[in-house]
Amino acid sequence: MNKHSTATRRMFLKGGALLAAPVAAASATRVLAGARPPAELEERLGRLEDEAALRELHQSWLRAINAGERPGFDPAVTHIAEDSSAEADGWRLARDGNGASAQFDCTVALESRLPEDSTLAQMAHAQGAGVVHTTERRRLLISYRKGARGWRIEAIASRVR
Amino acid sequence: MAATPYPKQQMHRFAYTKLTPEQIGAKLAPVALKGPTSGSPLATDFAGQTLRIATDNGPALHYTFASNTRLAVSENGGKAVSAGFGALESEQLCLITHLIPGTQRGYVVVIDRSNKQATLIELWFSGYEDNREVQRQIYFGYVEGPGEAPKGRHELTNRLEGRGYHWRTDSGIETLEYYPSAGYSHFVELSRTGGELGFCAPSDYVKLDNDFILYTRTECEFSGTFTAAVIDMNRVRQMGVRLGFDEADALTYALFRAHGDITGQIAHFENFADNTGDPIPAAKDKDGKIPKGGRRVYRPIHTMDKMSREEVARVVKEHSTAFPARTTTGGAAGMSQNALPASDYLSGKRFTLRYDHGPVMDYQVGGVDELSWRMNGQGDWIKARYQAYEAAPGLILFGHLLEGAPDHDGHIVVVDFHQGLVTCYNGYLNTPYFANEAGARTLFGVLEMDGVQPPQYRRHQRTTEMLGRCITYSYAPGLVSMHLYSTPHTVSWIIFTPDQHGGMEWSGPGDFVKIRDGIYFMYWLEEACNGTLGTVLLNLNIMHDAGIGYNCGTRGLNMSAIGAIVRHAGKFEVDKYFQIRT
Repeated sequence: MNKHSTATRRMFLKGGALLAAPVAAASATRVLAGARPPAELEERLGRLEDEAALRELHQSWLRAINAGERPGFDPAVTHIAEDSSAEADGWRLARDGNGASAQFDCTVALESRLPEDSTLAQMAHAQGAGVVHTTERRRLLISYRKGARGWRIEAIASRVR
Repeated sequence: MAATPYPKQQMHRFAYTKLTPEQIGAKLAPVALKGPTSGSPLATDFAGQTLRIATDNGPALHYTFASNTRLAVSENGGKAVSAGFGALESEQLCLITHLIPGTQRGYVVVIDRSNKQATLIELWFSGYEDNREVQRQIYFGYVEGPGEAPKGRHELTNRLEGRGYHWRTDSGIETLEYYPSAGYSHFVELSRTGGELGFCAPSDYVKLDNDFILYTRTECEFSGTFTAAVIDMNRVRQMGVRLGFDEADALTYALFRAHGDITGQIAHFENFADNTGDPIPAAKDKDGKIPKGGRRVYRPIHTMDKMSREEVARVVKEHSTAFPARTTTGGAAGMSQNALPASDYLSGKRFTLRYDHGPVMDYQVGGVDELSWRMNGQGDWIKARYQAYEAAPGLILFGHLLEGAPDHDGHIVVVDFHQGLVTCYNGYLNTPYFANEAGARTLFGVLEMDGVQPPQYRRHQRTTEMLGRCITYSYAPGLVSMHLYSTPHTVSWIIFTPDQHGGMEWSGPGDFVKIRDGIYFMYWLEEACNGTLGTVLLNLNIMHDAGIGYNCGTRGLNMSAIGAIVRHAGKFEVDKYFQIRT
């Protein structure tokens, strides 16, 4: 685990459960293998593998954000904590299997620098401050695209809840 | 009859001489040999005694006293130097001060005889680009002697934050001192300059014990004079020393005693467990250490835009904006984040504002952000962008620029549609010191419109009801200040640190008008400090204000919304020190 990560224990446990889910699901599919037509089974297995990959991609992205990297996201965000009730509304896979989307509720920590265009803000900077830390409850809206090298994040947006 | 000694120029306007190190050295030399003057009897029984002071990460001083006014001092084991000195005592505390002949340095030493703890303040001139500004470095330590060295130390504190005093020194000088910050202080010279305006200075607060605080003040940006005083909080008296050059470049090096009154104690906002001081430590050097004497000082005159009349005329022509779209990015825009919503109260109305001994302004308001005005019933109607806020039922604050006015005026107006009364803060430019620095006229008058019969004699009135009050203004996250109304003509503002200590503080002239019970219309002028005219219509009934700022800088002339959620931090009872109360 990245030593700079500020993931909470809750997040860690949840991440583990998510990453474990494809294995358990795959075992279950083996038990039922004889009862289902091979094409359906293959499709279901593919879906589970896609979801597992997307979960790992999502967790990697969260770890990167919380480690101080801000890949392709609001540069004011310094930390994202998924809400305890923020069960993903599921990865919605596109019909063609090459696209996906997901939504997550979370609390983001923001850091912004006061523009020095008022006397008060100038004084805040003069005394060594002038950086504002706030938190917001947001919903992350993420879209994914599958390419030759696997899944990647295509776009991330968020809106205040 | 002695007239009130109002200065020809207030401290922020006075052009203090840029003294050279040689000039300073020449004036210090005889005083260093002689020692400080004193308005009170000096402490005695020093002859034949010795004293060793050890400090943490600072100098070691060894004193040998020849008399009550002569000593020899050795720094860090070096050669002893003979100097004049003076000392005062209060209970278990002794304050000793002397200069080092042949240098521009000196010391103030405060010793607690009961526990041997000591605080050493090293002072020096010619350590900043303005040579006359006294520099200081504080060291904590103890008196060396038989027995174990004390483990405790004096410490920087916020324990005096929020306190106010009236002091009268042994030479009759009366001062109001306010300590609304843990790193700055505010002072009003009542007897020396008439007490019209208060001024701010970086300060240190050292806890000597629960009863005594050592306070310092350096009048940076002004004369540069340094003051240190031990405040006996129970007996409300102090002993101290002043060192510096006055407006006439005369050197003051004087011990004093003072007695006083507590004028009040306002709230402060740190976590209850946080009694720390030094809330705005100086920036560190490349080596990770704060340089000797380092401190954060607000020096607005160095950073403000300073423009000529021609430059102002050009920038106003090219870049005048009124009420740009609000954003939430902080700064001046951030000062509108908590502003009241714009009101359409004026939309469709036609009315006249008739100011006593002033203009008659006719208005036709077309919509929520555009009006037409005409002055004195003459000329064409001129369109202007405006914004209005209904601060209380039927009470409207609105503002607009007066395009074409030779001094680029703006009117910021409170109209009481219930009472038929109006007060206008008429901002203008082309003022004497910097053309982009705003000035303000206060105009009183009446509202004339269909359905409103204005009073003949009644007007809004200037008030001292806000005098001594402290109000916090939360404009946006991270953008909070506290106003201190320290005189009937002063607004001071204190900026909070992230952990809610009072930090930097500055001030300017202001005006205060009572509009209704609990509702006040005020302005502050950032003279020699960005030049902004800030106005506040404060409604203590809802603990919110509506405001409008008027500012000109290199980026243009701007009128914009400001507004905050407010808290009442307390009130200093200082009315009796100002003769005219309304």
